[in-house]
Amino acid sequence: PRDKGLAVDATGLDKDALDDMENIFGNGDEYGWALDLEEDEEAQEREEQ
Amino acid sequence: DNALKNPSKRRRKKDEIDLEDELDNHIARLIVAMEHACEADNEARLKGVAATNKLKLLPKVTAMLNRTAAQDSVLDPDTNFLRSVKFFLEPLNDGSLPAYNIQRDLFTALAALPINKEVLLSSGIGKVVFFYTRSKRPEASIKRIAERLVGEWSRPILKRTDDYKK
Repeated sequence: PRDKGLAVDATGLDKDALDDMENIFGNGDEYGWALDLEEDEEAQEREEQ
Repeated sequence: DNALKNPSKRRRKKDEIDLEDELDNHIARLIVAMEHACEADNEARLKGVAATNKLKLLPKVTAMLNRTAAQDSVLDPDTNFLRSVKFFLEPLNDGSLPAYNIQRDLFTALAALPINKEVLLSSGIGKVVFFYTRSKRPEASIKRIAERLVGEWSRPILKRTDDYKK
C-alpha cells in the first residue's frame, strides 16, 4: 500500500501547523477510493498481460 | 446635495459597486453551471458516452481565473469559486481523471494565483491537488505543477512553526 500522508518531517511542528496541514491537504483518505480503483485497474492489466 | 457638489465622484463609486455586483453575479452563475457540468459528466460516464460538459465550460472558468480584475472575488473564501474548481479537477465516479485540457488549464491558472491559507481551508483545493501528486494517472507535467503547489502552499504553514522556535 502506498504512503498516505504528506512527505513532511513532523518533528518540531506544533499541533496547529499539523492541523492546518491536514485540513488543507487532507489525511490521504479523501480520494482513496480513486487510488484503489487505479490499483485494481493496474492489477487487472498485469493479469491480462 | 452631495451628489450635486461632486457628481463625478458619486457616480464613480456607484459604478464600481455595480461592477462588483455584476462580477459577483457572474461568478455565482458560473459556479452553478460548473456544478451542473460535473454532475452531467458523471452521468455521461455512467452511460458510457463522452463526458464533455466540463470541457465546454472550461474556457469560461479559465477566463475567470485569469482575469486580474476578478482576482479578489475569485479568491474570496465566501464566494468560494475555488471549491468549484476543485470539483472540476476531482476524479469522476469511475476513478478516471478529467480531460487533460482541464487539468492543464486549471493547474496553470492555479499556479499563477496568490492562494492563501483562508482560501485553501474554505475551498479544499489542496486536497485534490495533493491527490494529483499521489495518483499515477496524471502526466508528468501536471504532477510537477501539483507537487510545486503543495510545496508552495505548505511553506507558510510549516514556516510559522520555525518562527516560533527562533
